[in-house]
Amino acid sequence: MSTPPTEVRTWAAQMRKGLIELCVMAALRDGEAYGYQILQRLSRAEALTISESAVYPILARLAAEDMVKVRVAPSPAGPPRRYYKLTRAGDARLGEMAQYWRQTRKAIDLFFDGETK
Amino acid sequence: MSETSSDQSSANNPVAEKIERFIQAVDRALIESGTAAEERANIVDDLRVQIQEMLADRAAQSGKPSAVDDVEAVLDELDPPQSYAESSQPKEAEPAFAGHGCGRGHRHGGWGGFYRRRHRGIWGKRHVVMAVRRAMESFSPFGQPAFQGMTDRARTAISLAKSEAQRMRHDFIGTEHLLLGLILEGTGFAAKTLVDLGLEREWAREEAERLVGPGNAPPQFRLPLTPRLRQSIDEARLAARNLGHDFLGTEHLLLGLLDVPGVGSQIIANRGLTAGQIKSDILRRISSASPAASAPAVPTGSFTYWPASTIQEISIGENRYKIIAGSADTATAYTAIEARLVSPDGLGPRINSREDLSIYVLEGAGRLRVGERTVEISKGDFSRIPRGTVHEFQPAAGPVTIMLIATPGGIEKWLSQLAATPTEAARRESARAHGILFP
Repeated sequence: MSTPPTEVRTWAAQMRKGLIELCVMAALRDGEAYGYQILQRLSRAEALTISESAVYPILARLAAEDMVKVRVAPSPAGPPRRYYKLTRAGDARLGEMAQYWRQTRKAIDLFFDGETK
Repeated sequence: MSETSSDQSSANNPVAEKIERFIQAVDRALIESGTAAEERANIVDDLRVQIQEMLADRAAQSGKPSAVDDVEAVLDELDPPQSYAESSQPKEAEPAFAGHGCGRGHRHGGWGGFYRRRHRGIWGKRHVVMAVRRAMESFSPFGQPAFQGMTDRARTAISLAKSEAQRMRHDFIGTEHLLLGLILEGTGFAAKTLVDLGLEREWAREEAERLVGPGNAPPQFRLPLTPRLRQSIDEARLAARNLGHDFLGTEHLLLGLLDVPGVGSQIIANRGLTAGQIKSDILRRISSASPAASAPAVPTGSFTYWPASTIQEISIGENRYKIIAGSADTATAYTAIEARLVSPDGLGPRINSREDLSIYVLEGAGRLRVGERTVEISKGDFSRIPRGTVHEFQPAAGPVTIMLIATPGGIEKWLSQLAATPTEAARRESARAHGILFP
């Protein structure tokens, strides 16, 4: 029998998935970065517990969708780094996603906290 | 599969070897989740950079070159490989009525990346990884829980799966190997279904090699099963149970494969076959083979006894059904079921066109509507619903347990099928096939 925590976890996992994509793209707004660096930028959003197994697949997908451009450059330690940069299309998508997120957040805040806030 | 440009040969460099093993496991998880080759390469490249930089940071702090300890500490910080399978492909919601009666935690995969990540401090990754490794190692073909109750054909298929894994020089047995084993076995329901639907041996082999790539493992006597394969064997067991079978045959193994996203089901999908197609073909084979074969297990003229522990239980939604005696047990005379019905599911309005139903309330209370009449029934009450009558039952508050006698027998077959049927459309279809109508 499914217990509430499982359902909540499933729900939260689904919600996070979309939000992490938004965060990954937002992290690239400050300029190009390589995978590990993006991960470090994202570590600020602690509540979302964004980790590499979520971020790297998203980056690979964004690259396949031409939302980010990849530049390979040597690294002082180990294999070459792959630098990601938002393309024009990626930037546009980020804009739309960010706007949608702000509206959603506002609506949900209103819903929970009433209009006095 | 992933060619390292690293000039150190990982064979005699334990640090590189450890990293490479981890990378391979991640790659494997990505393959299982159906990630495209190019994306996989990018993902593991990013991960390689991260590992090397974390190692470099440690080396800079300690002033010593990286040792195996450092690699272990770094890998310990990382998400376990299996979480890549979860993050790139949403795990499909558990079908609402797939055998909750099984009641074992492992059905939920047990790998829940999110949960673990949230509890990083409590659940050290290392512990999880080690537990998983131990669990994998403890499962070796035959004589292990995973293989109990298997038919000879199913065992043959598993042996063939293992030799396929060895032939491809893989150091694990995965769902793709089992699929090949089922095809190669050649005589079981699974092989017949797959070959009839156009999944030929050579094509499947090539597809498996294309998806996974050859390995480079030396031939090994013991090969661990991948988590996906174990999961699919669990699903197979469940399918067998839901069909009321007390053995595990190739047909169940194939049904199990279909329920688990993995390379095996990927190969099937790449052939343009849907899980639904295969399921219905298998179920057709099973049902056309069984009526002739199912001479009553217990002749009605004789004394019959079976202990409670052998009684099969089926869950559909929140409702539980104990099949106390099925039509095979009673020479089709009747089916006896103890049903535990939970609000709000209850039993929606329906017509049983083939059987009369007798209901005796064992526990709880509810509202029974039969045709135009509605009665409140509770513990100890009895009612009889003639075939062809619309009826409906709603538990009052808590669960209601009833003894249900259907004459003639056979309705349990519908329940078993229902439990294994995920979609509303398929449920309606199977209901029609069993003479149940929804007005």
